[in-house]
Amino acid sequence: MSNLNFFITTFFCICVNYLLLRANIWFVSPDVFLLHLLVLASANPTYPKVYFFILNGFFIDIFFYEIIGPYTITYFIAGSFLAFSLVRWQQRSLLIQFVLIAVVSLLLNSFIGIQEGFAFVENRAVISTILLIIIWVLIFLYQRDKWLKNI
Amino acid sequence: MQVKKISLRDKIKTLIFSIFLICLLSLFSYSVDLNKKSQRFLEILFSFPSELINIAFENVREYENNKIFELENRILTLESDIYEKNLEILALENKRNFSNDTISGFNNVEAYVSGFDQGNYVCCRKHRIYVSTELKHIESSKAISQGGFVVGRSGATVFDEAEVRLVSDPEEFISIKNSLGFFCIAQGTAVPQEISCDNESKTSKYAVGDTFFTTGFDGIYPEGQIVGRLHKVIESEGPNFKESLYIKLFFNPYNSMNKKLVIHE
Repeated sequence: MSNLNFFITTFFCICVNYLLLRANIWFVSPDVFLLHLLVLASANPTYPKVYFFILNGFFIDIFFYEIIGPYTITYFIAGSFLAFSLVRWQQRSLLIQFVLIAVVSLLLNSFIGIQEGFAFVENRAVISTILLIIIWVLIFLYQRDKWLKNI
Repeated sequence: MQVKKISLRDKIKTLIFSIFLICLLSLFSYSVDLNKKSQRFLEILFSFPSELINIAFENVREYENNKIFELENRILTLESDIYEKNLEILALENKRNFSNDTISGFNNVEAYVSGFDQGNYVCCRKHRIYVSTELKHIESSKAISQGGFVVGRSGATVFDEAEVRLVSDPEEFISIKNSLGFFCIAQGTAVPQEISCDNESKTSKYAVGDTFFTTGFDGIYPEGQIVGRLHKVIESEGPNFKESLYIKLFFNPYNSMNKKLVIHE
């Protein structure tokens, strides 16, 4: 995925996230940006550089938060992990993928909680994490054969 | 699919630059107030579609409200029908031995219960309801009934409404009889839905559960209208025989709001 596409899809996700917030279903929906990251990690042969991850996170933060932080730091961590890792994301075991998704999701919600108050993300942290894992399982089952051929 | 290896030095370099970049971006956004501007931009971007959505929602809400209003009206009409049918059933149950031809001799005017003095009805000696009709002025002392049941007598006209003194009002008297030929003049007891009359004759025939009707002797209430049912007989102490009969009225003002009445002109 080119860097430009990365930003365009992120902007699309920003619009979706805004609508989810307006419709008050943001609390019971999976995090759109983490889902975007998951799709990016599994669907593309090359990852953007860490700096682009940071810029992307920054791009999201300026639209939703008062202070730069939650997504910038989460994207920085996720981008560093993807860029420095010796194994591709889809080559990892499903359990490790679950754990990593849960860690990143909880970390992100903690950052949001620091800014907006923990009561704001109390239920969302759990719901969003579970939904992300469920969606990832569906993607995994659907794409598994294709990945096995490429590995 | 192989992943390109990155040396430790490059990793550390990348991390340091990344942290530096985050700090720089934070400083930049803070200095130009970028967050607030971006958020405002997003709001403006979505203001037009959201307005459209709001209009659509409002239309849907209005449509639903109209539907609810229609349904509520239908429910009210049905309730009113049920109420009137119940009255008819009650009237049929209680008029087995009586014919009611005399009412047709009156000029009947339709009216509706528009108010009820609930406070006085419960506590005090003033039992009144208010009725409205198409007539501008309703003469006082006209009998008012509801589906063959006695309600009361019209009084003064207040604004566009006529005050109706219920038969349970202690100032109200009514001539009544039962199907066994017992006649008496009953008076309101000031107790909701209750009137009473006295009997001093041992030959009179009545029993608890008897239905009482108007005699028409008082010149106000048409003959044969249903008044109520005898529910209590109390014998007074003393040398002479005397019994007080307590009659429970059928007309209940609590259920009568906005219901149709008839004024017997």
